[in-house]
Amino acid sequence: MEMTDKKSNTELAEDSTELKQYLPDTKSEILKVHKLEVDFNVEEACTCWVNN
Amino acid sequence: MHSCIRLEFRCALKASKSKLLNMDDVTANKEPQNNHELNYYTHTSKETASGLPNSTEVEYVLLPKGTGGADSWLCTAGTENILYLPLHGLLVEVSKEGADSVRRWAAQNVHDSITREIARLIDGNPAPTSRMGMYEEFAPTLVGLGLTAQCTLRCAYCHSEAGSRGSEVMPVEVADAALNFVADCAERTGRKFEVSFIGPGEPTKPWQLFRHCVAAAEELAASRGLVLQLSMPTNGFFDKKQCEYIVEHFDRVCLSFDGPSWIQNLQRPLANGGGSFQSVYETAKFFHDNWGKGRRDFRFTIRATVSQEGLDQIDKIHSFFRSEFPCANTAYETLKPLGRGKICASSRVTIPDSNRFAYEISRLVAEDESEIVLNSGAGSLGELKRSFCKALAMPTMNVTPNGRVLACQCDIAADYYEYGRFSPSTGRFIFDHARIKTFQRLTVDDFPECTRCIARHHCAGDCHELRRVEFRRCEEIRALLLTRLWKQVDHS
Repeated sequence: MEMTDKKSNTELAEDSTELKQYLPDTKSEILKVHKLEVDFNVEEACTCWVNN
Repeated sequence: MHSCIRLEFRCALKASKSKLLNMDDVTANKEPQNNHELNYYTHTSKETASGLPNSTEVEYVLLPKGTGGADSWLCTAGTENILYLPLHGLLVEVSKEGADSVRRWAAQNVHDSITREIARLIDGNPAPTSRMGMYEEFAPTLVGLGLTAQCTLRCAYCHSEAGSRGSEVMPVEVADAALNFVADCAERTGRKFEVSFIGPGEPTKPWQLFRHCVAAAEELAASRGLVLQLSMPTNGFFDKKQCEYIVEHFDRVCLSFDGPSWIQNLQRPLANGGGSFQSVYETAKFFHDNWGKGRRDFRFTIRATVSQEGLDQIDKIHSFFRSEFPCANTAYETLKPLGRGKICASSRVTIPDSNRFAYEISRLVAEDESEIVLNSGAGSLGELKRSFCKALAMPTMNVTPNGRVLACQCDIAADYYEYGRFSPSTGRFIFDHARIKTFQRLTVDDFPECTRCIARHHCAGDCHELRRVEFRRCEEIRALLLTRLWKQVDHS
């Protein structure tokens, strides 16, 4: 804390710029879209291994 | 430097944050009044029996009518949020603000930039309009031949109580009539001609009849130009010549194999009480060494029943399979109270704690880099369905040794699943078509308790036989699905 308090305005401004690089952009609320390959007919698949 | 530290922290976070679901406390709030209402399934996080932390809160969100009333689920683990729209094939990572926007959109029909973007994504990835009518016509193209009730093993939990319910063997004319009927259906519909050998007993026990059926199926397929698929579950207790025959002729085999000798011999003893491990291990080795060979690109899956005794040492079992049979997928299934499994509580082999099973198997799925750990309840992310399997949706034609036709191969409940039988006087099968329609129309839409569950499009209400005996494994299915969702996010 003490170190930070003693920083100059320029240093604080630099820190602030650096910090922005790590903070998420609050306007980008969608971070990523994953499109999944969908197969709707998997009841075709044999799932007879269910029972002991 | 900072980046490295942050990366390490994130990796450590990923490793420690098991975003699994503990469904001890699942609360369904009131029924939806309209499409704009925010409805919840709140899965309250608790510590698991093993003391490991896990927490994913899942909210069901019915998006407004502008999207066609899309089903979606918001999943939150710590500071991470994902919006899952299975029918649209979308998994959207959103910020906390983004998640709040989605909630506002659903509750008040208020749009902002994020909801407009999600609406565009939904429009661009439409849900299928209908998958009904797939099996409107009764034309089973999968026949399951239950050749015998005899078995070489006496598995502690056998669902069909094989070896202790008579010694009947299917007459050859019944097998031939079934193969002919299903080949006719395959020819008419243009679908694959699928032949499986099923219980109640070990399919390879009546070896000559087994070979006759394989040859008959191959001849039918060749003469009619059908694509044949041969598969079976087996206990793997047979000699090398039998192994060679199976590799040569089969597409897929599901090998029942519970792990190293200490668990295999405990759970799957021979009929005389001896150990089955050595023989089954040699079969698995042979299958593995001959992966992709034979007429039909032979493959096999290991199917392990997990008791509490096995679950206590699941890492040892998994390591055994991975090191000995690296090509083979391994399906871990909880021991279920069916057949001899009903009396397991009083034996040396017991039914595992369901939450613990869900946690441990999800952990194996999360840790495994490939999709090699399987479970019948929760397939891959993109595998969606309205009926759990085609046993009822088609329905498939499972024939018992005495000629009864069942939708599900679970012959211990033959009266429930019977929809036809062989007529010795005509040499043909007769069917109850009203019953067939009932089976075909049964989908996940008939199970109100599944309406807002995140896994509804994945397990479709789960195996009907498990529903019938009121054995629910919703916990493990949801936990496995969430594990796969987070894995998709973390690995993309």
